[in-house]
Formats: sequence, C-alpha cells, structure tokens
Amino acid sequence: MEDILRTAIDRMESEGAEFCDAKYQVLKNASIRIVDGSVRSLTEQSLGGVCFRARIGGSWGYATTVELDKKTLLESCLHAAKNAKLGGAKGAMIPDMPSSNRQVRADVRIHPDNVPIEEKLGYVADLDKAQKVDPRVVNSNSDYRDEVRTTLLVNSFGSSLKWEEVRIRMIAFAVASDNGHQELYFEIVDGTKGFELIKEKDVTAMGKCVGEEAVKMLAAKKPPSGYMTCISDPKISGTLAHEVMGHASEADEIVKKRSFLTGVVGKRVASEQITMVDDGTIKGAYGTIPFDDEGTPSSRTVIIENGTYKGYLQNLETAAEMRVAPTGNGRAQDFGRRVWVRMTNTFFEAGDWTLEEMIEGVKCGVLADKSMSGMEDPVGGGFEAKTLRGFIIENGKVTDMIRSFTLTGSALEILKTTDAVGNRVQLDGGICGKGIEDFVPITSGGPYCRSKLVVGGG
Amino acid sequence: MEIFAIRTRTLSLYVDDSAVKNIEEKIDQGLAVRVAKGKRLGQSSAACSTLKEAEMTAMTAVRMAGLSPVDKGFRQLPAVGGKVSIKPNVWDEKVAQLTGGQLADIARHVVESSMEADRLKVPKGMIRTAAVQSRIRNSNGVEVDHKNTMVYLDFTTMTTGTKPGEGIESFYSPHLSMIDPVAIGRSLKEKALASSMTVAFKGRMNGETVILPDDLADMLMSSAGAALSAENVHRHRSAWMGKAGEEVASRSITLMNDPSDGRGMLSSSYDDEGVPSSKKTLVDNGVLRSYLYDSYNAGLESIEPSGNGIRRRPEDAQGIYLESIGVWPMNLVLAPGSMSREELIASVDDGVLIERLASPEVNPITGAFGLEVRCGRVIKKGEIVQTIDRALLVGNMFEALRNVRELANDSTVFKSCIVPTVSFGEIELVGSA
Repeated sequence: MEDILRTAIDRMESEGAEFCDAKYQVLKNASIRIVDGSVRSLTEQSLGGVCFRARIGGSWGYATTVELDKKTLLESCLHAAKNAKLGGAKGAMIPDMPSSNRQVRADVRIHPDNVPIEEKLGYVADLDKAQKVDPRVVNSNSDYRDEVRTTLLVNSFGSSLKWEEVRIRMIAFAVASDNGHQELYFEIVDGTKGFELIKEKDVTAMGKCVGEEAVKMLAAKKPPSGYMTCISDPKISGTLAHEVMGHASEADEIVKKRSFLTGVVGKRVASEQITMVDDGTIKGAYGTIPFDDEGTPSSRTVIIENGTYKGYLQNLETAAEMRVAPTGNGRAQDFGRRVWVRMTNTFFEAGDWTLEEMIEGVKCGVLADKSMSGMEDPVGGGFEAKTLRGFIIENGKVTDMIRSFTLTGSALEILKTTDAVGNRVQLDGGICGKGIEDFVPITSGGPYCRSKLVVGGG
Repeated sequence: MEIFAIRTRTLSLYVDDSAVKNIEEKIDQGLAVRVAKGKRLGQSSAACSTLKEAEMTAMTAVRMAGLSPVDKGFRQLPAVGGKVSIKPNVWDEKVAQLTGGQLADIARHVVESSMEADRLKVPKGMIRTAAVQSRIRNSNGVEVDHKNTMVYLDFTTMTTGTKPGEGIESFYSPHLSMIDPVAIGRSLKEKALASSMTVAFKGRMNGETVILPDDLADMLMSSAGAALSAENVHRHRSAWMGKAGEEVASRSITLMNDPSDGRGMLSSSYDDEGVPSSKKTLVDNGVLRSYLYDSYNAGLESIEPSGNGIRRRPEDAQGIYLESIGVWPMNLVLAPGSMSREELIASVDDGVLIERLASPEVNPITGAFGLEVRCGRVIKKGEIVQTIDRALLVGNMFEALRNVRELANDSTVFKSCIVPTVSFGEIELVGSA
C-alpha cells in the first residue's frame, strides 16, 4: 500500500499540488450494548479506506475511497488534484518540513484484540446487573466499545508514518422512576489504554453507584434561575475550557477572524488564577494522539497562562498562514472526513483552593455536578453547558440536590469573575464535533472553579 | 440472516472566508449483517469492496450470534408482509451527476448574495450532496432496493464590525431544484445583521415564546420523537409511556410520521429493515394515538412493525452501514396552522421570538431544557422592540406542548422534521442581573 500511496503523491505533485498527502486508515472496533439485562447489540465493525488531499493555492481537493485496488486509488488521487484546482481560495504556501519515517505502536498492556469477546461481555453484563439496586431503577443501559485505529500516512515532505491508536470506553446509564417522574444518572470510563482499563475498574461498584445516584435524583428539586455564584465541578470547568476558550483558540477560526480571541495574544483575558493548556501527549487520556492526521507529532500548547493569552492551536495550513510552528492539532474523524484544527486534551490547571474552602465562601449559589453537553460560540464568546444535576449552597453549606440545569454567560466575563480555582485537576473523556459533525475523541477538564454566571433549568 | 448493503457517492464543498476552500469526492460502500440463531442475535458491519470482505463480514456476524446470550425479547427478523402504499420521489438525477464545478457555482451564488465588502462575509459554509443506493435482503424473503439523493447546505454569514453578529441558514432536500442560493444568501445577510444588534438580556420575563422551525425541529425530535419510540416505552424512559388515548398536547397539535413526503430527507417506501413504511398519525389533535416500532419492539408486543427501524441520517450518507437500527420517525411532521409567520408575530402581545438557540437539545426523558438564546427578539403589542442575546430559555418541552397558542403555516424541512413556527404560552427567559 505504501508504494501505491507514494506513487499517488508523485501524481498529485505532477498535477500541480503544492502540498499533498495520502492516508490509508483502518478502524476496527468491538461494541456491546446490554439493556435491562438483554444483549441488544454484539457487534464487530471494520472501516478501511484511503484519503488523498491535494493543496493548490489556498484550496484543497479531497478524494476518498474504500475501493483499495491500485487502479482505483491512482485514479482517485487525480480527482483530489482536480478538485483542488476548482477552489480558487488564496493562502500561504505550506513550507517544507523535514521528512520523518516512524512507526508507533499503541502503548497498552492488554491489547483489546487479545481479549475474547466473551470476556468483554462478562464485564458489561456485570455492569448492567449492578445497576438494579432498587425497584425504582426501571432501566439499565451498559455500553462497551473498543477501537483500534491504524494509520499509514505519506506526504509530499517525503514522510512516511505508521501508527496505532487504541481507545476503550464503557458507559453505565440508569433511569429511575417514581410516580411517573423519571430521572437519570450515568458514569463513563475511557482512555487510550488497553483492556487493563476495564480490568482495573470495579465495574460492579460503578454500576451500583449509577443505580443509586439515579434513585437519589428522584428527590432533586427544580433548579433556581438567575445570575448567581456557581462552583463548577471539574467536568463542567472542562466544558468551559473546551467549548468556549478551546474552540475559539483553534487557529482556523483565527485566520478567518471568526473567533473572539483573534488578536489577543499577550493580552489579559482571565483572572490571574487561570492557566489553560491543550496537551495531546498525556499518557492514557482519551484525547491523546501520537500524531495528528497530518503527521505532526502531538504537543503541549499553553493557551492561557496566569490570565494572559499565549497562543493558538495549529494545523499545517494555519501555521503557514500565521508563520508559526504547527502544534499537532490537525485532526479528522476518520479517513473520510475533512481535517480541521481540533483540540486533544484541554483543561484548566490547578489552583490552590480546596472545595470546602470554596463552598464556605458562598452565601447563596449552586454547585454544578456532571457535564452533559456544551456548545461553542467562537464568534460571540458565549458559553452554554448543560449539567446533569447540582446542589444548592446556602450560607457556606451544601443543601438540596437540584435537577439538570444549564449555565450560560460570556466566557471572558465568567473567567474574570473566577475568584477561586481548586487544587486538583480531573479529566473527562468525550467526543467533540466541529459544529454538529466531524467528531473526534477528546478530554476536557480542570479543577473546581468558582465564578458568577446565569443558571436555569426546567 | 439480514444484509443491508449501501453504496454512496458524496460530493461536498466547503467555503472558508468567502472562498471555496475544499471540494471532496467520496465513494463509500459497506454492509451491515444481522444473524439470528434462535433468540441469539449477532451483528457485524464493514466497508466492503470485494466479495471476500463481504463474506468475512457475514461470518463475523455468524460468530457474534454464536457468542451472544439468548435474548428472550427477540422474536424474529422482519418477514415479508404488508403492501407498499407510498412511493415518494426522492431521486434527482441532477444530484447524482453533479460535478465539483457545478457545486462551486451554487456556493458562489450563496456567498455573493449574502456578503457585502467591508461589512459582511461568509466565514464558513458547506454543501453536501449524495447519491445513495441501498439493498436489503433477508432469509425470511425480504427483498428491497432503494435509492435516494440528498442535498444538505449549512452556511454562516457574519458582520465584520467590533461586535460581530452571525446568521446561520440550513437547507435539506432530496432535490437540487428546491435550492434557491440567492434567497438563502439574503436570509443569511438579514440574520447576521440582526444578530449584530443584540444586547444582553437583563432580568427575567415569562411571556409568550415563538420558536422558528429550525430550532423547534430539534426540540421536538429530542422530546416527542423520543417519547414516541416504542424502544423508549419498553425501557420505561418515554414520557408518554402508557398514555395512548390520552391528551398529551394542546388540541392544535397533530404529529405524523410521513415517509411519503417528497421533501423529506428520510422519505422512503421501506424502513432500513425492509418493512413497508406508511403515513401514520401519532398525536391527533393533542391525543396520543400510536408509538413507532421496529421489528424488535413490535415483537415484544406481538404486533407488526410500523416501518420505523432507521439506520439512515438526514444530513450525511457516509458510513450508514456502521449505524445500528434505531426507532425514530421517518419524517416527523407537525401539522401547520393557518397564519403566516408575520401574522403570528403580529398577534403576540408580550413575548419573545427565538431566532437562534446555541444547541436546541431537550432532555429526552424528562423534557427539561435550559437553552442559551444567541438571538431573540422581544415583542410588545405585535412589534419587535429589541434584539437580545445572553439569555437562557428555561422550561419543559412536554409541558410546552400542552400550552401551544398558535401554529404558523410556514412548514420547513429541518433534518428529518417538517415543522412550522409555533407560539407557546409562557416560558421563562432568564438574563443576567
């Protein structure tokens, strides 16, 4: 395959490509879904194909196929070059980089390929069974998925890279019901680890916790609404880091001036307590990658340091436009999707407050617990995070549990009101879209943070 | 054994900063295989281009079925049955034959009609077209072939001043002739200019709330769409469980599953299990009449499936063979009212028109929502008096559906919904102090 891809590179260059690459990728996964004790899905999947990219001027042409015979591939690469010529966008030339020739295997102890599916099934069954702790748990859901992604990338720098990524994710999700009122709770374990991630997890305790918490949620009260002090848990702090500051720091939004963070390098954008980074090299984190989808090694990028904005996340093209080095953030969902500038593991660094100290200082506010989703707003700098639940804080004490609610406000205003940052960072794996598609694995996180913003829930 | 095979040609174009940035041509082909061994079910799916790969996929599904525990709820894969009652026109040869150059021309028309030098630009846009051919065969005798085309557009225009505003416009259709790039461009321009004039909403209000079709479609699908799924009913996570025959919404609400509508992205004579699909009233003048069934959930009640086992997505045809069967409306249609949108807005005494939400998701189990308003219009005595943002719309969708004041006649296709603008009675709007 590498020889064919190399020939394709030559052909795209002959057709006028100023930069081009060819990527052969195979994704294999096993997935198990158990619902209320029944195995609803036991599946193995395989997705393999080739993507050619050619850049002419400032436009790209892509051609993707799952037909892997030499004739089809060498015709397909010409479509990429032809499509690039139709664009007409202007852009800086991607400068030549030193070629690289490397092979990287996933750093896992128990490769999921070596674990029988029956063994995987056993863990998921235990997770599901453990959720039924109370007759009020009316629905248990347990999902497992492992993915082995192998990528071969060659490009017009002369590089040839082959690497493997392994990811595992397991989710427990219970619904409790009482007198027609329903609530839910979930827990997730994930990482770029092998099956040791599951073996080392007490799945029975995880399932039991999910069932018990779903039942507790039935007593949760309606959340308050209004502008108030909010202590965000690490996952919600991570949503703020990711959705607003992270997406707005993706340099493809900067070069077209679509981000409210355009031109802020060196400026104060947050309280001095705030330091934020994107780091694709964290061992075992769900968003960790050895290389991005353009073959640039992943790296640690400081985005905000002690409140001052430091720098953006880059792929090859935006780095060329901004005349800086690429940071290894050019990522695609798979070989069939566009490469965008994307985050990896994005989080606020720790401060020095304990959670108890933060709560003591709140006369009236909420403690937000568990992020459900968020949405970026690079243009307006707005922030929306949906939480699973929370707690009322009154006179320095945590009181009633409250149902799901949403936090919103201007990111810069929120970060300027942040007056306490917790002393322990937690990362939370997830899937991130650029808008509403092109999903890549990431983590986001941070410590507990205390800020002022608008909250409300139905 | 059941085989779902699909081949797609997708042609996509991306606009970045008012110029055509990417043109992408993608050939995708794959299989999803389900194998039943008694009450044991195994699945496998793969991108396939050779007979050998197809055989391997089938053998993997056989192996999975052998390893799977007995599922007492499983009855059988669909059998041949029911007559085909609808034949929607969802194939457009022009879409199937479209070239990158023709797509670029459409994009340039959108860009030219939405931007103004030094004032408005198009930071991002995308048009995706696809020609899809699928085939379903099963060992119970089901033999179904289907083909459809898709045109999906999603563009953003923004103002370039010190407080930029952004307008977003989407378009969904199986047919190229339905697209009007100039009208889309003009709408983008108007929305961006309105968005640039927003002020942060302060305090709170509890007035009438008008929601436009695009956001309403997502809110409706994530609440009513989920509640109508027999899968959710059987799993005790449907808010409408056990309420058949009861009033669940205002009398003005009639919801249908309509796979016959040629405007719909999922319209088809069959669902993705090969079961004939049909037009069906789900909520009739506020009364819940029926749920939606795939073969598995129909089997749990020993009834016939309703033709709502869905793998396909309304905006993207790539990798459909990797999707599991889910239970969803094929097109969720909310029957329109008689007023125009303008008349409906003019009839509001004290309220807000929601033009854009950050992410219009509703909790599918409880119906609760707290949604960031990125552009809203305060209405007093039928007139728009202020454009706002930085507000939170707080409520419960199942309660809101019981409190509908008026529906407009501007039905719009958004994803797999066809819905009009709707005005709801009081929903709370919260801003900063």
